[in-house]
Amino acid sequence: MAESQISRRSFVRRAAMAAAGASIVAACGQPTATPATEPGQPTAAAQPAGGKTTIRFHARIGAQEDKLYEQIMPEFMAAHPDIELVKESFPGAEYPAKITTMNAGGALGDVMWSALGGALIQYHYGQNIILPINDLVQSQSVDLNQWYKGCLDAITIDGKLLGLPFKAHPGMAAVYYNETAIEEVGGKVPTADWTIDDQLNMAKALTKKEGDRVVRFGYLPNTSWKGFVTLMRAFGGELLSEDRTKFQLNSPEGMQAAQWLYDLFHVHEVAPKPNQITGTGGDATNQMWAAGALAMYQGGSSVANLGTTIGDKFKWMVVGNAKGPSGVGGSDFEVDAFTITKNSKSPEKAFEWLKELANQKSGKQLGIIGGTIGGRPDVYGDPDLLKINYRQVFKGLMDNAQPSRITANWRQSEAETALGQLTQPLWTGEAKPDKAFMDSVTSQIQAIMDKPKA
Amino acid sequence: MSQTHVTERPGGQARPARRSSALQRREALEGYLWISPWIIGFLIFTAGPMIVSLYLSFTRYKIGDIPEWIGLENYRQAFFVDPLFWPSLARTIIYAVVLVTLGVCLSLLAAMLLNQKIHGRSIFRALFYLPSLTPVVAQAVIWGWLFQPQFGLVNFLLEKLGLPTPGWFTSQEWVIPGIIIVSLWASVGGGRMIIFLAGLQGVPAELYEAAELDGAGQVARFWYVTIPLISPTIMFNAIIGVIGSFSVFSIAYIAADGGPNYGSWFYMLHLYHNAFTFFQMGYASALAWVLFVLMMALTLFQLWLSKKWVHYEYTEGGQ
Repeated sequence: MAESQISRRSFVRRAAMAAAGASIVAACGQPTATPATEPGQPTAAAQPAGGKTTIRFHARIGAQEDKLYEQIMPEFMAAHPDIELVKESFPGAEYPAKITTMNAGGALGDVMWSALGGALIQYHYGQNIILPINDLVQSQSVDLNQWYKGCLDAITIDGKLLGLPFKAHPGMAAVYYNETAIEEVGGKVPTADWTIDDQLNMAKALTKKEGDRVVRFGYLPNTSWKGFVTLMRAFGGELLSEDRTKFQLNSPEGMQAAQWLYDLFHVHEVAPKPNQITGTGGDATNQMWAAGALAMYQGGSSVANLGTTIGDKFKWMVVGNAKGPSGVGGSDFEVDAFTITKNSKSPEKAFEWLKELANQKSGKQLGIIGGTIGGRPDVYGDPDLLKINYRQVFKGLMDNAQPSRITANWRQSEAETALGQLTQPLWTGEAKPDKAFMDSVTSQIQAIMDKPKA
Repeated sequence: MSQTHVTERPGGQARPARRSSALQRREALEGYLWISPWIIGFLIFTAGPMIVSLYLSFTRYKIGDIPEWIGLENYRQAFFVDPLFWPSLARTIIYAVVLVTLGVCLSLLAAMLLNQKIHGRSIFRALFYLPSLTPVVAQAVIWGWLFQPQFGLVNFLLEKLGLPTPGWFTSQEWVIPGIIIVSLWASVGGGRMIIFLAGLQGVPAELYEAAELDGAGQVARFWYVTIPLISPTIMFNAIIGVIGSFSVFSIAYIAADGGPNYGSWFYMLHLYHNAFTFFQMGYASALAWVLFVLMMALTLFQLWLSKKWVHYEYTEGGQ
């Protein structure tokens, strides 16, 4: 009996210890750090399973991109029988957190999507996730002139090229207009040399009321960070100083730009105030454009995708931003890129896939599918794509796009969020863009830019 | 030093307490063994991350990087530097006070109505419960339409009544009242009402009869019989309600994204953005611990306060 008791106690103790031990082992089993490698000095080469090297790539879920991957992955694997591609994609909103978590768990793949938007690529670089590709470019004599220089500059930090441009566009450089509405009011469609005065007059003429309710607004400008970047350039200023450490919204050009926007909403009443926005969610203004409730709408190249929703409801076209006092309409390079991770054990093979994603064929295919296209002059200038009228406009804009500027401390996302929140009273009419207001907004964003690097 | 205890066994036989304790220990060990999956899960997935986050709250930390020890700097930032910390906390407290007060009262009212012996009571109970099953995203979309300032049904009705038509989710002033209305709609007939219903059904009918014989009217019966006897339920709902309302996130995030002009930037949104948008994990951990301590203090205060007004239908010793 005593032996039995000892045995049971022993069993319980051993079982508990085994369970605890197993859990500790399981917890320790996950590598916690990603070994850093110098550019061009990959970690030990992967042992190909069955003669193949698996290249895992992480992408953001998107109808256009996913269709492209489906099309080019089989072709690529057929052309590279030693490479097996595995796609792991995540919803856009969760993407940064997923990548960050996978990196922390040592589970990151070989290639990943990143972007200039929100300084995501800078953040990934800061996390030591990205393997710069300078040495691979050099060793394979890749001609970087294939891509827009502005795109490459945007994803280069301290001389290190972080990836290859996948998709690119000239930012909030374009205004979509409802041609049917312009015909209705007997107006002329805007041309590339139109000015902000022309635009205002057109917006006034296009604004349509039924009773005391506006059923069609003349123009909805973009009031986000990107919108301010382009508008301030039209007024001859810059939202960020050249060294990207100073926020300049309260500069004379910034004050003029904000006043011009404010007047659209509250003086001329050609732009819908927040309480006049119909539609739901973050896509509400796109819905208004597609429904014909906006006669002119500032947007990036992706807005063209709404053409299928619009159908034959009305004729539409696109033109570059109206020129401001500086003589330009304002633009900035926006780039999505694919990068190689430092976790990759086969950077050379990963680079093959990177080149495929960023080549002329893929960039053009993105256009055929519909939406933003590859960041290359030979894609923007592709004769087949140029058969579509609006793409001719975007080619002109892209060829002359202005450089991108990201906050020097890479807290772009934080600063953009703050600007979006703090300027809302301007659009609701609860504040005016006077010096006190603009100084207040500027100082709050400057405080974010003065924080340590993200 | 040591004392020998004896325990009476059935049949009057006595045996040393040590033998009984050994059995109890063995049974306890077996018990722990059986619940060990939960304990291990708790240690790894709850307690472990909590301890790590406490450590991280004293560091500057980006995921994947080595945390840099900065002492109390994150807490100093929160209390004295961050311009959004105190406003987001104040906003959350206002939301919690209004929502819990109104929510508990309205849920109790709904439970009392649905506790009446009326025809179709089950159908009414189901109908009241339905909104709580609506996903938050659907709530945000539906109420976004209803609250649309120009064409929404709510303002249409207000206009017909000659009342002012607020901007709701597009107005810094009205966004929190709007979110409170949505939260009430979704929660009044939910779990809180069910708990109140259970509490009400536990009130002995003879107490009402006795009170009635003593001449108590409906209001008196409610105040002197119902409220004291369901006071533990009220306390439970209040504590859970406060904890839940301090975690308000989804509806504010989806319906207004914290705006306009930070009007719905609640504490959890501030924490979330710092952690998962700005990736300031050290600072976000500090924010999480401030909230944890605050919630713990509030709960303890509520428990202390409950001694003054909560009535339990038993005495010490379980009699």
